Amino acid sequence: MGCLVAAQERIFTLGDPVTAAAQVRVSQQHGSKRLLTSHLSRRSRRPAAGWRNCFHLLIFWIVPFWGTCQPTTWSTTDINAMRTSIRLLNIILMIAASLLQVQTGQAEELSRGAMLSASCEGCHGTYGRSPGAIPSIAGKSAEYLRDALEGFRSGDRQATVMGRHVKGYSEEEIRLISEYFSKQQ
Amino acid sequence: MNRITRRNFVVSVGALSAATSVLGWPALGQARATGGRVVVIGGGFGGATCAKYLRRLSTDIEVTLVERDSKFVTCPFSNAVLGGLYDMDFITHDYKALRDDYGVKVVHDSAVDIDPDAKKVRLAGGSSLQYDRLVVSPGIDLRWDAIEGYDEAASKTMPHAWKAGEQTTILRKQLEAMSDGGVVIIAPPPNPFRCPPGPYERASLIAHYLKNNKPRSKILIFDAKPKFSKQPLFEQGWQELYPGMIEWISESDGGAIDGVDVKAMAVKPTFGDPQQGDVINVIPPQKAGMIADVAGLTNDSGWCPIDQRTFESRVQKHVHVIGDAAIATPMPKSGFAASSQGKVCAMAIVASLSGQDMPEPSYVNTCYSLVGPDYGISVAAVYRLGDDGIAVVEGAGGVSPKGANTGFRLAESRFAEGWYQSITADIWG
Repeated sequence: MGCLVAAQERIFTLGDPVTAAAQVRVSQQHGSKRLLTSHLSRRSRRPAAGWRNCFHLLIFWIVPFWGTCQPTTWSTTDINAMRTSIRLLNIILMIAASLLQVQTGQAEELSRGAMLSASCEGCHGTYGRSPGAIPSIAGKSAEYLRDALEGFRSGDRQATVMGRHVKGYSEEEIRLISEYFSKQQ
Repeated sequence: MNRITRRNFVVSVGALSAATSVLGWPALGQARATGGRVVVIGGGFGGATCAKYLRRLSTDIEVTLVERDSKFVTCPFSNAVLGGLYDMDFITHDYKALRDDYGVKVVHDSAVDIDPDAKKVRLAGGSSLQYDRLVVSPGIDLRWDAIEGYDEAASKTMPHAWKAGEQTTILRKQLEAMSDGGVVIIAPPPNPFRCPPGPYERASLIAHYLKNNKPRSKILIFDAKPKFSKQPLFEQGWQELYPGMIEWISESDGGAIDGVDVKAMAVKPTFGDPQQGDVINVIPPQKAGMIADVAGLTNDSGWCPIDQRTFESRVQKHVHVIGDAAIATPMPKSGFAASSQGKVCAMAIVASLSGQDMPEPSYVNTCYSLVGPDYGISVAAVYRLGDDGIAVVEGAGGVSPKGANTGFRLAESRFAEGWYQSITADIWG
């Protein structure tokens, strides 16, 4: 049981449901494209849906059926088997959570891609969503962004300032930046 | 361990399922504890960016932003207000989004002292704030002792307008009240100072206003320097748009001033005769904002030495200094550079508080100047950390091409406005 209780506690402490709910509420009220909150809630809602179905399948179908196959009273062996399966469940949850890349305490990744991309956000807007004349780059495909940046570098693509900027980044860095903004909306 | 019944087990699993459904499967595995209290002093380009990006990176960190004013008026585009292209509302921003959307605690008060041992910031209102990490982003203060006769009282008559707000309005009203044929004097300081191309953009946009409203007027720039930022581009633009209207007097030609006479409305060059003006804009030499000085974060230069990777003060541990107040050479003292530093600093702090490695820093500067409403020029630079601190990436950056056509200048003027809208939204939006 220890593992499960611990897992539940971690959900409540790390998940900070009050803040999460408040953020979703704020984002709904404002409906603004520039909100971190809408970004967060979208991030946690969208990829979660498919996975949540998987977990519901696991919890409502596999686990109960697994339970009915067991004897009505629990022996030490059963309890040990149960502990193992609970640990297994925990591991599955953790792997799934890391796949979802939903971090509540750490809202966004602290990565090299994020560091490099922060440089772009000054002109192209937070998450690459520009409110003015400078093109938005959020959600453009990574291939498109990489091609555009490489085009600025070679001079094949006309630019005012981008040709001067792009020469400050390596091919690998351009790949990281392109991937970062392709994941934004 | 209590005896586990099948019922208990199913109930537990059900509860887990319910809880996770509500929360949308938050991370169980890799989220690290990043809690901590960060106090940010100053809600300008550096401080407000840092506060926002701290909260973007970690909602576990409690971020308190200490800012004297409830509204922030930006220096960028204040020259466009002086030229009559925009009104004050366009360059005025508030802290609502930081507070409501990002969960930054905004305290409208002034920091009067820092106790680095107790890790406390004392506020003018009497309260204190405890911190684990402190970010100081106080911008600049003006050296009132640098030019004889030019003190805070004198700045009501001869505005500096180098901190936007009331000073911008005073200068704008003086320009509006001036009669045709008047002389406007702009006196920029020696390096280093806030916004290197700023005085010359100012001359340009005042010239735009005068050309259309008081075409017989003149602008004299009494400069303490032998050359200035984007000089060939500005001079080319002045020639094209305002021929004969702007005269730049270099330091070697007697441009440096060491005194003013407020009553006589004149500046006193280091050599040569005093020059009278109808509107006089004195931009005095500068130093790091007062709190940096009071807290002993400055060196003899008046600016704050820092570790250029994390922006942590070389003087005080767990205190970071960003923006104009910091010695971040070769980055200029610009709003954009301050914002870039705010982001790097936020990443350094989150990494430190959560025991993670900080990604290798990447810094950037992009500054547009308007020579006219349809005539923009820019300077860009990309920076990385070298062996001796921040270094320009060779081969990248630079200024707009000198011989560019009107279409290029027009495009850059539109991008200048887009730049302003983006960066202010990235900071206060």
